[in-house]
Amino acid sequence: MWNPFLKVEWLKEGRNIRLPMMLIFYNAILAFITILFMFFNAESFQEGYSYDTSAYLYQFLIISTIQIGMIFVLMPFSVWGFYSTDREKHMLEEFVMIPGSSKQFIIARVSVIIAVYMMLFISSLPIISLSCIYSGLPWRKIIRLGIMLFICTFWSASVSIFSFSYCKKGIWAFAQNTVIEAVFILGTILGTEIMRTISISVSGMDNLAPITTSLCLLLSLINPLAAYMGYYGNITGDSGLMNLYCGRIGIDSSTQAFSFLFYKAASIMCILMGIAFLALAVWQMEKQARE
Amino acid sequence: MLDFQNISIQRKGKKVLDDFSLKAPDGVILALLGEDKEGKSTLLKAASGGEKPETGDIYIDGISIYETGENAYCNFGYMSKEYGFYSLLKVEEYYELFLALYKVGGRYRSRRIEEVLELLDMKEYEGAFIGELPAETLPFLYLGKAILQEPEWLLMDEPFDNMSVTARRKMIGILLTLHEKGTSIILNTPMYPEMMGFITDVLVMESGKNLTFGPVEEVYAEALCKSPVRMHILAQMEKALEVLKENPLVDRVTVDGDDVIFRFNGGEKEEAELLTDLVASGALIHNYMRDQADIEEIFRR
Repeated sequence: MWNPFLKVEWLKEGRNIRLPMMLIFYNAILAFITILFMFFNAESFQEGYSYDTSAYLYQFLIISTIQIGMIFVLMPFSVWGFYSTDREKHMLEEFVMIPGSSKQFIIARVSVIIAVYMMLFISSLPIISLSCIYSGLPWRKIIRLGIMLFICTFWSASVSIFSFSYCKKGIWAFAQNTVIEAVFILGTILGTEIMRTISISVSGMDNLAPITTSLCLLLSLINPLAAYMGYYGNITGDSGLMNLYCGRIGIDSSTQAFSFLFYKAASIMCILMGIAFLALAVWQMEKQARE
Repeated sequence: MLDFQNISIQRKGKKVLDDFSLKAPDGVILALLGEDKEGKSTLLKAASGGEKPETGDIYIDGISIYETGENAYCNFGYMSKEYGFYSLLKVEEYYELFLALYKVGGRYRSRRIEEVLELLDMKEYEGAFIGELPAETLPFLYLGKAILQEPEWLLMDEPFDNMSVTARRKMIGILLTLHEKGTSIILNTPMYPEMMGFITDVLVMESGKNLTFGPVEEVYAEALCKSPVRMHILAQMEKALEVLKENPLVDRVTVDGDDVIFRFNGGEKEEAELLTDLVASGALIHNYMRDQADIEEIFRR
């Protein structure tokens, strides 16, 4: 096997009680929300009101948003679990002494984390399919959701692995992880808003200067949720939050450019940033070996 | 030969290893002696390639271990103070991981695992989970990891810590078998009684420096010469003290009841002459012997 850590990580994760517990709770949360939606819709129908089909559309979106949100919330805890075992058992010291093993170790770790989260997605397919059918959406949306989850998992796992490789104390790593996520998710939105405000106050016009729009677009590109926002807008017909956000930075969200930026280019950017964080994690591990 | 040439390592501004030099010949079983935080563990870590010195170099058979790059670690089996295990792995899976990291071919791996487990007398635990192994087997399991790639040098940091006498004897037996097969061993360990016939060489370290190094008998003989003399006198103590005072090779004379303790800085012949003078003075000497002090303590004085 080209990477011996892959087998070990798989065996460890497969034998850990954490995985079945995650599967149970993850699906329980999704099932609970789905049942809640069905219950309220049935109740409203019994009381003589007509079926609210748009509620079913939002049922799928809410479930997919919860899935995306859970990745960013659960990831630091998952990676913390991995690294606390390594540090407690003094395994990192063993590996850093063997040249070249840092790269293999990081690749194996990110692969297993992605596999675990994809397993969560696959296990939730019956619930998602039900929501998809009720929402009247084509099954391709589920595949696209899977791709979206994969991209977000990769980005989030890379950031967490980097943080836990960088900081020796779990609590500091967790804090660093949260700060990085906040900077990339909320910071970029805040950044675009600041640029927009400055541009408007300087020019004194309502429309943004093209250079400001371009800068806002670039900043939005590095937001790991940009791809999902594009996906969300695509399902809802460019309405809601997505349309509001795009409108504020002077982008016509119905054009091809919108689709390209917030869905495809943002996805590629997300993967590239994930690779960069993983490279930093390898570099950090090797640096610790040299010290 | 493992050759440490003027290596220095600093931590938080303090020199842990200070211009340390040593030529350890092949085939030694070398014990590193000294107080805590004298640089012994750092020396072993540096030799294993785990910590590169800021200055100086370490050579194995004339080639720098840092120049040989990725293959250097194969020459060393390192057993650190803290054992590294994954409780959820089986013994064979744990060994397989390290064999794969040492790039040992798949076909040879299972044979090597069997060989190592047989040497350690742990065949019965091959398929057992590490987390379920009895605590006393863990040092042996960890030793197995260190010797998987058949290293030329085995570097062990406090391997006998918290071990029972029986386990210590078993470990020494395994190490002697490895030594017979050509493995040179460096241990950072206190001198336990059962180790006297096992260690071939001793290195005493202080403040990251090489205080003394040589075959165990020579170092012990030197240490014994340096240790204080205790003399029990039944009568005529004053006459004995007068003789000691007149002898230029005697210093630090103290009286402890009927005992006189002093340091003698001469050779065997001078010491015999002193003893003759003492007897001739009329002092009634009942006992004359070297204090059995700790070897590390003697060299630090």
